[in-house]
Amino acid sequence: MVDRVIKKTELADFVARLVEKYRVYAPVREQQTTNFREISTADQVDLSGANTTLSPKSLILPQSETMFEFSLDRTSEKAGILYEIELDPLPRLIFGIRPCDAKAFELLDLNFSTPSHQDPWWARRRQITTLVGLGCNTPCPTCFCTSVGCGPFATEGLDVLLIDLDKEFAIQGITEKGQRLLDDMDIKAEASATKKEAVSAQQSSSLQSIKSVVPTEGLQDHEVNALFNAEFWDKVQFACINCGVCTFVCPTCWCFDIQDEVLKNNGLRLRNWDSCMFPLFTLHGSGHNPRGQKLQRVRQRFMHKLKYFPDKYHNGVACVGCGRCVQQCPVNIDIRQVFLLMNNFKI
Amino acid sequence: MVELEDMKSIILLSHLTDSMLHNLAEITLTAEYKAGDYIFKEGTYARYLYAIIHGKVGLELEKTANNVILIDTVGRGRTIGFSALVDTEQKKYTTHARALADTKLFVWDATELEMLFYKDYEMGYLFMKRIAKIAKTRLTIRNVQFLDIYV
Amino acid sequence: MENPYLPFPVKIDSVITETEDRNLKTFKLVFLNSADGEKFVHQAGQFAELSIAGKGEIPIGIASSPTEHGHLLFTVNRVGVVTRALHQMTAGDVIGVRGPLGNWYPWEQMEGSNVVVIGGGFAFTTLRASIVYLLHPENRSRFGDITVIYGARSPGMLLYRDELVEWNERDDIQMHITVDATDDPNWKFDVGFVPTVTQEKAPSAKDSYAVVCGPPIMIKFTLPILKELGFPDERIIMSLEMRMKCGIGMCGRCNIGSEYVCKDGPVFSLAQLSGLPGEY
Repeated sequence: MVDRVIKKTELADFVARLVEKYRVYAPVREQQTTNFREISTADQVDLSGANTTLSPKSLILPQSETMFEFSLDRTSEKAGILYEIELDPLPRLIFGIRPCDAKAFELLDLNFSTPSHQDPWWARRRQITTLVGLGCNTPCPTCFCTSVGCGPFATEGLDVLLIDLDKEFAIQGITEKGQRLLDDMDIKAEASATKKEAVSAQQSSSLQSIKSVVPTEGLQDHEVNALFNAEFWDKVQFACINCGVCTFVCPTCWCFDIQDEVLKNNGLRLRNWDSCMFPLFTLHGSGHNPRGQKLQRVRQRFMHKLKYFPDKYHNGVACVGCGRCVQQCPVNIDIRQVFLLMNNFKI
Repeated sequence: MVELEDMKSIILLSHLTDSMLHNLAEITLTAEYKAGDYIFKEGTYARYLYAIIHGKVGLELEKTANNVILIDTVGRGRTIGFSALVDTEQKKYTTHARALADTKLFVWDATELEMLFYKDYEMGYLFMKRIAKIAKTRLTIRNVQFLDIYV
Repeated sequence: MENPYLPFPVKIDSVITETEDRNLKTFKLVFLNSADGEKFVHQAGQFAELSIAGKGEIPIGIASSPTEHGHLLFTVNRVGVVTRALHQMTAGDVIGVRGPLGNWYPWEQMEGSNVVVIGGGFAFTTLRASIVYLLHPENRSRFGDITVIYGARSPGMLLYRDELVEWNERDDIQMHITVDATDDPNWKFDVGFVPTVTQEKAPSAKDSYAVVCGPPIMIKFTLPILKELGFPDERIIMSLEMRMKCGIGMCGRCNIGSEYVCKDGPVFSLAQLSGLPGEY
């Protein structure tokens, strides 16, 4: 329920109080791009733009992360044995995250927190991170969140949602974690009827401005092998140059690689973002590669998001409609068209 | 004495009718070899075609004089000595065939077989068609082995 | 919850060179902390990640049976960075083991049935675990006839030769060993291609399961023979290989359609596989 308000003039003070308790990450403008960075004062924050260039996934799943450390010093008893590293325990707060990116975290939980295994780094960061979202007053032409179970003011995954009402933010505490944060920060409840009207006016104007719509209702009915063998993949993949930018900017692309790095006798086991667009991703030691061809890799990315993932988890597609891949693809491959091709596919 | 049931266990003959088998039985002999005996040797005149009733036969190639390679083991129901039927100009066996266990075989003189086929074209066709199929299967397998599949 | 990425430290107890080309070695590993060993409870058909600090990890089928206690066996082909490093290591060296990972051959489902084990080349590792498991006095009576068909390029490329001879002398298991060719005058097994031998030995499909593990091309030619013999797709059990990293279904690379080979596999029935894209 939207029941609190903070004036924009009070924002600096609010952020200052947050910084005392949390590592705070917020959109920061850096020349041509805006990205989430750790901030110390409100004037660093730029909430004016549309969504950030990169998704905030690196705040939970860093592009490169140290998993373990080890020594190769053969005089030591510990040589060759891997040891865990203490994770930064300071609570974190992502300020100004958009609803689509918050939902992406929820989707990735399905992969990283399973009944049989929990990814310790993912789970721990999720646990210590509070998400203070910002609703979208001016969605981009590439946004299609409303087609994929999300929306400009959707609350799934968020702890708190801010709604920009020009001179102030209306605030919705969503989870208990979020409510507690607002209480701690001494944000007063103020439930005026005019505020609620302003909020719903903003929400409906945002919804109306989202013109991109993709169909998803037919995806689950298609037989997986029929879609896999569809002829349209040849057209979809034709222009692709396998640069991997789609996976890099995507909030729901989580694939990673594990590598060891050694300097003299000290080593680290790291995990780094990887991409299904790269042939090395699936290359066997024997030289065999099940996805050695570009078509196979392009198909894998879309099939994973729109067919395999929904079939496995029954929780919708692994796409939140942020539109980053549409904006960034150098050869204009548009996932919205792939939705259309896959959904409307007929043998 | 040639048993019809034994003849039916031979893959090569599995497409022939009973009356064809009866005609074939008239020119069919059997032979027995002890383990270690040679049935035929590489390069010798290929007079007979054989099929294994029971036992096991090894096909060997001589790489050099003292280096013999076992290239196939052939068991019950299978046929050896194709050269007798198909290699009409050279008529030489291309491998050694050696009994690896006590082995009993059907033996056909290729000349008599051909005379029978001239009398019964249909049987000749079915017989040779089967030979071609077996040869093709062996070629397919050799192709795959050539790839060194286990590596 | 324990960190599923953290390997248990183990010591190499001994190394056996298995094959004449010296590319396959079996490593006998012993846990440094016995408590880790007690936690490591596996089933025949599962795999583990072997970890070498500074080089990385590799997924390898567990070659020892759950009925063999106190150590683990892994037979490793030398192909890449990690396996090359491992092949340089000797008894006393410390590495890591992470697992057991993946599913296993469906032993409970197979109970009471005949088992036909078909393997080729160095994929025989989890099949060794399976045969040792099946032949264990506690288990042997729970299964019907056991038939093994195992092929390699040459006699010197067969794994576990001493055990093969031992099994061949038993009367509660039928061994059919075959090679592509040999110049060994004392070779008393078969020469020929695994599918041909399968066809010739024609193990009965009645109340039987076929467990098949080997190079793709061997499988390609063996499956039609098994179908001809009457094995239904549900009772043809296969174990697959893929490039893997995490081993727990998270890193995203080893999927076939919606299934991760590392977590949902590596064991699949042919019936399961035919419902998935043929991308492996």
